[in-house]
Amino acid sequence: MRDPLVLDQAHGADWSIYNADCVTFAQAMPDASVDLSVFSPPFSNLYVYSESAADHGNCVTDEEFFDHYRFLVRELYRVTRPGRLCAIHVKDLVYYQNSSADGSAGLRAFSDGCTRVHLEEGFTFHCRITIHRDPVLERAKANPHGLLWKTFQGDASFCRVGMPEYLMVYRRWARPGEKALVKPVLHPKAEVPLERWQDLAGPVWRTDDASVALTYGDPRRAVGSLVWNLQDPGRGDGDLPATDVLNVEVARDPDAERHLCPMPLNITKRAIELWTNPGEVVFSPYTGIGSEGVAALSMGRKFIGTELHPTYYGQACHFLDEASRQVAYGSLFDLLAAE
Amino acid sequence: MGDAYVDMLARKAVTAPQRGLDTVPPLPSSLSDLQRDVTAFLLQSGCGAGFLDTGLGKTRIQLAWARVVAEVTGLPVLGFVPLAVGPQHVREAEAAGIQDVRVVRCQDDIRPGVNLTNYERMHLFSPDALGGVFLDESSILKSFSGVTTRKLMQFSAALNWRAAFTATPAPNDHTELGQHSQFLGVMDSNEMLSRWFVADQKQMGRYRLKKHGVRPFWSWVASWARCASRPSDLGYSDAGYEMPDLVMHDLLVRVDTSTDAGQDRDGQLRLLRIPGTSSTALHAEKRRTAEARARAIAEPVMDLRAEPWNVWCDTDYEADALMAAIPDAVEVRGSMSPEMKEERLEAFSRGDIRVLVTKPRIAGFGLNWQHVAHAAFVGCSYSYEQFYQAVRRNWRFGQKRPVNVYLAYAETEAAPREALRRKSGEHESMKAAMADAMQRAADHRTIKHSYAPTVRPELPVWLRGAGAGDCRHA
Repeated sequence: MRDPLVLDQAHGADWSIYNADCVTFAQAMPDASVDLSVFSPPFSNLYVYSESAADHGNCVTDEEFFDHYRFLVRELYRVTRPGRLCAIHVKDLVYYQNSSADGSAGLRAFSDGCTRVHLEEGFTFHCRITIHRDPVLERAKANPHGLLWKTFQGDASFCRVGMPEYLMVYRRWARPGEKALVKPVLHPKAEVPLERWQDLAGPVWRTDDASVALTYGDPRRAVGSLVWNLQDPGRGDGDLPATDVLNVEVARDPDAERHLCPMPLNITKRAIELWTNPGEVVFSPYTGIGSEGVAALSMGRKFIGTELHPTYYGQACHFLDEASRQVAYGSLFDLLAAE
Repeated sequence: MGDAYVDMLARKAVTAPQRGLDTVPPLPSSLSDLQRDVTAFLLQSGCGAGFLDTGLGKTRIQLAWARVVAEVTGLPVLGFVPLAVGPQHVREAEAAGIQDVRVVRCQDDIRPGVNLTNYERMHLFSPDALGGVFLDESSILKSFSGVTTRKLMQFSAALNWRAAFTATPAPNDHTELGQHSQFLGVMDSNEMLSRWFVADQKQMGRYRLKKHGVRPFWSWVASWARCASRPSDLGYSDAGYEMPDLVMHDLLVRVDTSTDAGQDRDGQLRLLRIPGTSSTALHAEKRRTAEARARAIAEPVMDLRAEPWNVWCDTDYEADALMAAIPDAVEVRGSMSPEMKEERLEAFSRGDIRVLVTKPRIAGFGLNWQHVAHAAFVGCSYSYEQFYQAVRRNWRFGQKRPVNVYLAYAETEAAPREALRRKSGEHESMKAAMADAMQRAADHRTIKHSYAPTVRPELPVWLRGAGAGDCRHA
């Protein structure tokens, strides 16, 4: 075993985060110590966050990314409690004509590549949740050839549909001799009514992209209306606001290529609600500015995370500290209300 | 397992392979320390580039390099040079005491040692009996068609010894750097682009270096090239390499914008012409103002009658206007035969012609005209690279007088002038990043910065896990 050193660390009562390479750190974590991993991996070479070779986003090809990612997945399998899950937030990636050798353009099945690596390292494929994204807003943001009205008129064979995101979920089954480690996740009827379960069971989670235009507000905004709210394309639709993310403005690194991609809080919260019991351990190897940690703490879970980038790590410390204090106030109010 | 991860991280750092000599034989004593260093580096790498600004001794380096390669391989070496540059090289070889250097016109002329020919004659040669190949002023590849460049790549692909020499690349000039790395067999230009560049959506998909890419990119370049715009970039003294001043004179040509004003989208006649920034609009505007700009240039050219002048244009109609306005001007035009071009360029080098009118893409590369301290551009194009290269014909080490550059442009052509100013600033900052990387390469530091943690982590008490047993996937 390598010397499991880190660059920095910070702890609260219910959280610990490390400024470290997630692979070397995960190698030092105990077996079966995590109840749910939920995170958004770097989307291959889409964004480069730092110059470090240890940065998973610092790669040239998808192949190189998966070579690197595999080392993490191997540890994820080991540290996940038997019978529990690992949920990753990903999407497929486009490639353009001017960067392809043969002049073609299209999609790279990045989400399927992730599945392949998880299966090869021992997980099973549990389910795929599609997160709806409004194609009209995608067109407005990125102007992709395949989504242009002009393309549709000129040669619709180039037209594609909008790019959704996915929550890909993988399960680590208990092997012989591990049955004792299995702990069911329980949802008593009194706490979660049938209607809520039917909502959570939907294969497509619709997010409200229209709020992209809003300035980033309260980072811990409550989950939006649970009622399906279908509207005309271009106005966004759904029950999950797309901008339900931690305040990204404060964490911007002037040298980072474009911006960081925080994992939406509402998607994270749904995963945590579905697949963990209160008090259990949630792990994110790519903590970023701490989104998964804030979601976990706000729901009474414990959180452990790693982040390589010192600026993001610093912001994560700040957000987690604040989140744990909010939770403490919250329970104080609950206590007063109970009296 | 741990070691496998370390190996994987190490694979992510990229450097060019060293495919040349382990020990470099003694080099001619006429070489300076800098020239000796660069020559030795290129001989060790086998396939490498010398990005050296004019006056640092590219010619001597390439001749010394070629001489050693010819000796090591026992085969002749062929060098491609721009038009009219060959004789200049032979004179330089004599001065440096380098033997067996000659200009050749076809395969049958080739003799042991170093052979020089024009790029235009590539089709008359075959790589079969050669030990190595080198390119002088390889930037010129950009002014040839893609076919020429591809043929040159094919020509050289089988040769183990390749070298390319040109001035330090223009900022963010991925075409040039990619062409060089591909020519040298270091990395495909497509791979280079996807590794360190990003297609900037704000700039119509034009590639630019990723911000985090700047350092690692230049570190990688330093593994197969030596770049210097002055000796101190490679750790040597700048004494004796002081550059004279470059004085820019903007000749702003007033134009009558009340003619050809056209009409707006609704068919309403316009009072004044509003020139667009599209290339179509720009060309129309340039054609309209060509004569006025030529007259503006002719004035100083005729005033300073005792001075030799380089007058640069971008189009034939500009050349026609200049020839009409300057009585003793001689033109070198694209449609002329290579022999005629060469003869006139040589005559200008000797001082037999006072005013030379030509285009940067014809004579902007490789020629040394330090005897000329006055240059004029009859127009301002968007190509900073061509402008820079053309100015460098006169403004180079060895130039004793300040160089005066006259730039004529109509007031309706302010956009390209502004672009030129901006690109010149970008060039400077890119040169700084490049020089920085060369220093790091000289310091033998590692290419990608490594992960060096020092703090022992404390795991939270609640992270107990199963404790016993190995949970690894079988």
